[in-house]
This record gives sequence, C-alpha cells and structure tokens, in this order.
Amino acid sequence: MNTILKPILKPLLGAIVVAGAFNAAQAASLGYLDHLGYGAYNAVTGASLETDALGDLSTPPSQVTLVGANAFESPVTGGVLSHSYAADAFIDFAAAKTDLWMSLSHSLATNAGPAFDVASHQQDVAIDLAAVHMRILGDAGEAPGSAVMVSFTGNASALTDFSSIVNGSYLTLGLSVSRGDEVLGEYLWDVQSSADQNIQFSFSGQVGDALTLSAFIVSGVALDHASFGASANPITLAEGFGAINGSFAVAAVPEPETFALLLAGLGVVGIQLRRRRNSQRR
Amino acid sequence: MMKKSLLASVLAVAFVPAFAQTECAQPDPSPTVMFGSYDSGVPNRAVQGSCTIDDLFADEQAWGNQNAFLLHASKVSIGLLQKRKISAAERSRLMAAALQSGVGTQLAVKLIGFNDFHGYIKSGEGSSSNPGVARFATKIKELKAANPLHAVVSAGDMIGASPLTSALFKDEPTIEAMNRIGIDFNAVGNHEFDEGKAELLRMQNGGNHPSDLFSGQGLPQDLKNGQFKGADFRFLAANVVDATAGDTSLFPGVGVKDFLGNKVAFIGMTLESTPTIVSPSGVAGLQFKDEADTVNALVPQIRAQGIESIVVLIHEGGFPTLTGGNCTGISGAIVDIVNRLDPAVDLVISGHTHQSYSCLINNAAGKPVRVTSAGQYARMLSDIDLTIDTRSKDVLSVLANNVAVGNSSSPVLQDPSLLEIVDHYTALSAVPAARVVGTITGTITRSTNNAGESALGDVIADAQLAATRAPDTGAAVAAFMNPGGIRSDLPFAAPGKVDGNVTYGEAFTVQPFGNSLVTLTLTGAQIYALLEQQWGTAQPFPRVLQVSDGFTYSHNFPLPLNANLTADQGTQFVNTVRGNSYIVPGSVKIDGVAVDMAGSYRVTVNSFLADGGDTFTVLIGGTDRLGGAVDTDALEAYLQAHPGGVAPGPQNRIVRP
Repeated sequence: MNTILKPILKPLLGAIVVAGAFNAAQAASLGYLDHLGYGAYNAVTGASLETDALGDLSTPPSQVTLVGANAFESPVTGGVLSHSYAADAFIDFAAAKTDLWMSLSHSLATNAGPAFDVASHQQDVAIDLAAVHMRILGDAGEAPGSAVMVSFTGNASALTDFSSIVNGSYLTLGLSVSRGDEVLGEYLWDVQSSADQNIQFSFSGQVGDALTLSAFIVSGVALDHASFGASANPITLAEGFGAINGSFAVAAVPEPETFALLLAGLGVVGIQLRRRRNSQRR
Repeated sequence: MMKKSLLASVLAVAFVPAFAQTECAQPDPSPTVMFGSYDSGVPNRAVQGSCTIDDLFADEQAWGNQNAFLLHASKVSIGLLQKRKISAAERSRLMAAALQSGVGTQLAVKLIGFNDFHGYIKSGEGSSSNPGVARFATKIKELKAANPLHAVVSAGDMIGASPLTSALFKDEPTIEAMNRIGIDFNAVGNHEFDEGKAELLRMQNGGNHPSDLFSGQGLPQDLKNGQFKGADFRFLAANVVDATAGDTSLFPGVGVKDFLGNKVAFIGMTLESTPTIVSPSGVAGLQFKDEADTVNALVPQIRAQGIESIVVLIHEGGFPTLTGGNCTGISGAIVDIVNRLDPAVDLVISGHTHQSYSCLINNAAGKPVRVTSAGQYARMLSDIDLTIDTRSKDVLSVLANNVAVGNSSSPVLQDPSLLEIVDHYTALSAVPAARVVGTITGTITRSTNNAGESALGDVIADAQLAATRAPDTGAAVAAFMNPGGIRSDLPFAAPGKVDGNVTYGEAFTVQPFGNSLVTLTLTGAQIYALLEQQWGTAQPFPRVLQVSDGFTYSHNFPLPLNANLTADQGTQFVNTVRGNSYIVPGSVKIDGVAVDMAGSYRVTVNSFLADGGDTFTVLIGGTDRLGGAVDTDALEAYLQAHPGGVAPGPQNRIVRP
C-alpha cells in the first residue's frame, strides 16, 4: 500500500495546499452597519407596575451589547412576591468570525411568612435584537459580488422550571437572517421542556450583500388568584432561562481558477498513478 | 447515541466557562460573591469541586472592556443556573452586580521606562554603581510579572558612549541584551547618531558592520543568518527627517501597542538640538524638528485612528533642584517642551540629563502632565501604572515611581540569560582590551596636588586640546576635564603587558564613559564663572577641573585639595566656603595672555560637562557647539603622537599661592 500511495501523496498534497492557499487568501467576514435592539422587564402585580429597561453598551463597529438585570419585591395582600430578571445580548464582530451570545433568565418566588393571596401577577422579559444590519466584507479586497458561503453554527439551551400554580408561562427563542425580504436562515424554538438544541444553517451570498440579523428570547409567567399557606421558607414558583450561543463564519467559494488548480493537481496525481502502473508493467 | 454525546460535548464547551479545573487551591473565602469590591449579596459557596462561585468569575483578570466581562459573567452564570448550582434569582442579582461593579471599565497597563542606558551591560564596568544588564533584566522581569499588560520603553541613548564590553562590538551586545529582555520601543537619542545614519539603521535592521571585524560576534541564538540580527524592538524618531531621501522619516515616529483592544501610542524623538552635540558627520543630511511641534502635529493623526492614550518618549530632560528628584523649580529644556504640549498627551518619559525624577509639568492647557526620567546606566527604572478608561480609551490616571536596580554588589539575582551575553562578550574582549595604544614614561596618577591638579588630568586635557585644536576640529584654545571622569590611574607596569605600554583596556578604564568632545565658545567672564563653579553653591564637594597646557590661573581656596575633605572640613565647605569667589582676579591666562572678560574663547570639554554635568551649568550657555571625537580616541591619538612615550603632566597650571 505504501509503495502505491507514496508517489501519489506528494502531488495530491500539493493540489490540496494550492487550493487551500487560495481559499485562505479569500477570507471574508461580516461587518457591522447599525442595530436596533432593546430589552425590557415588566411586572404587573395587582395595580402596581415594576419595569426595567436594558442598557445599550454597544461600541460599534466592533461590539453590540445590551445588558440588564434587576430584582424586585412586590407587596401583595398579606405577603411579598420576589421576582427578578437578567437579560443580555452580545455580538462581537471580528475578521475570523462573528460571535453571538444572548441570554435571558427570570425568577418568581414567595417570601417566607404567613398565608397570603395574590390576585394577579404577570411578569414578562424580552431581549430582542430586532434588526442588526450587517454587510459581507471581502477582507482580502475581493470585489463586490464575489461568491461566499455564510454559515451559522451554534446552540440553544433552555430551562423552564415553573410551578404548577403558575399559569400563562412561555419561553421562546428565535433567530433569523434575511437579505431584503428573503429569509436566508431561520431558527425558532417554542420551549415546552428544558433541553439543548443545536442551530445550524448556511446560505450563499456575495461580498457587498446587506444582511439583517434578528434574534430574540422572550419569557413570562403569571399568577391568577393564587393562594399560599404560611411558610417558614421562601417558595420558588418559577425559574427559567434561555440562551443562544453561536458564530457566523463567511467562507469564500473557490473561484473557477481555483478549481482548475485543484483539477490540475489531481491530473498530476493521475499521471503519477499511470507512470506507477507503467513502471510496474516494465 | 453518538449524536447525543457529540452534542453534549459541544454544549459543554459552549456553556461551561473557561475554567476547566474543578479544584481551587485556595477557594475564595468571601461570604458573598464579590465583583471587584462590589458585593452582589449572593451567598458564596463551593459549586464546582472546591471552587466557589466567586472563584468562577474572573473579575480580578484584566478585561479589555466592560462588555467582555459582562459576557463572561453571563456565560458563567447561565452555566451555573443550567446545572442548578444557583437559582435564577441569584443569577439576576449576580448580573445586576456585574453591571454595577464597573469591572472592565478600567484597564491597568504598566509601563517600564528607562533612559541613557549607554551600553552598560556589564556589572561594575565603568563604576561599581553600575548593576549590569543581568540585574536590570531581573528588575524588569519582576515589574512585567506584576502586570501582564505592559510595555518596556526607552527614552534614548540606549547605545553610544558605551563602555568597552558593548562599544568594542559596535553596541551589538546591548541590542542583543535588549532583545532577550524584550522591550518594545526605543526613542532615538543624540548618541544613537554617534556613528551616523547608516550605522543606526543597521542597529534596527541587522547585518554585520561593513568593515569592523568585531561585528557579528554574538551567540548563535542572537544572530540571524550568522550575522547581527538587529533590534527586535522598534526605534522611533518622530522629529528626524532624512533630507537626502526625499524628506522621509528615518524611523517611524509613532509605535502603537494594543492592550486587549485599548491602544497606547508612543511618540518617540530626540532633542531638536541633537546636531549641536553630535559629530556633524553623524547627522549629515538629517533634519531635527522642534519637539513640541512634532508631537502636536502627530496628535490629531493618532486620535483619528481612535487612539486616545498617548505617551511621549523624548530624549530631552530636566534638572531637578535637589538630588532625589525634587520637582520644585525643575529646570531644563523639557519644561518648555511640556509647557507647549497638546493636552492629549498623557505622559512624558524623558531622558538625556541622566537625572532621576517624576514630576508634574503643565502642558499647553495649563494642566499638569507626568514627566519621568530614570537616571542612567541601568541603575534605575521608572515603574509607571496607567489606568485606561476602556470606553473613552483615554488615560484616567498615571502613577510613577523610580525604582533602583541596585549596584554591582547588590544581592539582586542576575538573569542567567543576560549573564550569558555579558560573559560571552567579556571573554571576546579580553584580547582587544590588551591592544597597545601607546606608551608612557612612568605611572600617571590622578592624585591631585594641593592646587587640585593631577598629572593624569593634565595629560587628558592636553589630549583633548590636541584633538580639537585644528580649525576644522574646533579651533580650541583650552580644554577642561572633570576630575570625576578620570576613573583610574595609568600604570607604568601591570600584569600581562610590557612596562610602559598603555593597553586599550587601561585607557578605557581611565575614561569608561565614552564621552565625546564638544568644543564651544565661552566669554572670558564665563570662564571665570566656570572656574568659580568648582566650589559653587551646588557642589557637594570641591571639583577642580583639569586644564590643558597653556591655561593657567591662581586661586586661594581655603581648604585642602590634595585629599578628600574630612567630615569637619566638609561641613565647613557646605556652610561657609562654597559659593564664594576664590579665583585671583586677572590670573586666568591662555598662553600667557590674560583672559579678557568680554573676549570669546573656544574651549573643549566632554559631552558630560557640555550638558552642565557636575553642576558646571555655565557650560550649558556655551555657544557654537561642535561635536568631536570620543575621549578615549583622543587619548589614543595623543599617545600615538608621542612615540617616545607621554610623561606625567607637570601639575603647574593651577597655582595656589
């Protein structure tokens, strides 16, 4: 086997190296244009409202960052409800890849104390990158219109630990990339039970294309005429989180001349093989 | 099944933060989880082996911006929540605290500054006060270890006017030592130009000297293709323009170092008046621009790149009013330069005066800016901590301390890697140090008579006058040599040489500073003032300048000059003697003619004195400066010119009646 492989290995490697070198020279990436994003927490307990908005700490064009977290105590008849949230979104634009991280978590609990009633409580939290506009950049100076392949590889994770006394609970994660009205890649998860999922999609594009990324995580829980007995300890009623983690990569599609080089290399392989056979014949 | 386990491993990578260890040697004992000094209120406890929640958040680590830390906190806390190690409510409180703590909004960067290294790689060479580059490297290593985000920068005269062990090998040993230490930038100083543009470019780019056989003698690992490698760090010269090459820059003016996305720009330059203190051949075709104007013109270009942290490395300095760096009343060219600097400059690392200080001097906006200088000859380092605002990218604060490296007998570990270079060149220089450069008729000592004059002082002054007497080398009529620059006697007999011979090593040991000669014009009144500065108000003890043949004068100084002052005499000197006039009026003569107060005289001193060294500040006012030969070369030429041997000087030029 070695005697056959050895002579063909060199040109084969050569062909791969040649093609690989051309591919590497044609790196491309996503560049930031602008973004529209927000996040908020709203909790209505009876007639009282607690609300909190995420801060936008973005440092364009390298980073989009939205972060917020807070904890509240809302009085109800005879007791106190503790509730909280944390939500954030990070996009890091770099030449090698564009990283995305979004997370959202929230909680609802009763405080220790005597029996009490909750007429109504509703808490909702959202982190929403409504529109992140990006452009496909040719890092090595490729002309607009050069063909590229854009891929997203990542995963999503979710936990919904909601007590049976909670009603109206939901947790949804979504991600999409579009070009104009054309949806190029999409992921949506209406979480019914705690799990992990992977996310993968890819699409072809061109250097210069304007893309729109949208991504969100939303969740909420409610109490409706709930009664609680006296308790020496706090009782956790709801814990949930959703997270999306992944990266965009843009790879140049080999140009015809690159294919030609690859074929030329393979041709050499063929010639070597034929020579090998011929020499064996002799 | 396969797919599930693969997915699990992907998720493990994704959600478990970057701490793989499950055991913490010293678990954080804090009762609550802290972000910096901010208390989240969340009870701290072991959640991953012995590691506590607090251990898992790397708030102590340097973060290039707040977002990076918040992303880290978000991922770590999701990971803990996913494993049900913390509750969702605790995560909310942790993330709120991470945001409120401000961790990541500021970044600490350490700058390690030095200046006027002058090739003093070998411990004890030239002076027992010189610690050598191996101790220097150890101190730098310690400072580097204190903060992984650091830059080591030099404010000029790293090379040139260096002692034998470096000078003999064209200062390649110093460049190789700095390469091993790992430094970032060296602003050129005047001495970088001592041997001209081409040689300076060679220091940067490498390759052996075209003719000097002592070039390219480094250890194999310090060479490149068997030749001198050149500097791994960048020389900077913002105010030097090469008029012979289409007004291009000789070197980049600005070097940038990136600290986790926070860039610091270093503008490097030498003093504008470099051509006045360097041999004209060394700066032929080069133009030296105004320092402050150069900085101020570069600032908008630097800021246009989004860089707000700006440090100036300048080979020009000041004179603190008291030894030890008292800044009140600091004088010197650096004061005017800083007074004119754009307020965007955050720090000035200076040099040239060989002084040690860390002062605040007002910029063009009248706001104080920190200005440092770290002495000379590897004896000191400036330990500077910058705090950078990671959002504005600007410097928030500057803390600077000068730290002593030690001396040649300090119990500071000598870095073996640097000692290897020093030992290598010490061995290589043994033979050339034995080269015979001339002969003497008897031992010539630096012992002074009671007028303050020594036989060796006479000879050295005569050699300096001889080297600068011709119209094209200075047209000098007298030479003055500082007694402190004569470090040893010239022995008639010594082991390993023929009696009467003078070896290169001996000549070098007498004058190890590698000072070059400077011829300048003084008025007769300035000559009188210069002589009175021998016991001037700033002198710690009397310093009698050695004078050349033909220069004579009388004084009636009241204390002995043929021995060190006793403690009582020293007190008397400080309290009642110094600052008074002791030169006999009318006694100062050149070749028998009385010096005219209003006349102009060309006199030669070494570059140290020319810059006001040993508090002879009158010399700073000398005009029409012309740089000349290195002092040992002048001595060698003088010895060569007297093939029958040079006799000890007559010690009859200074008279105490």
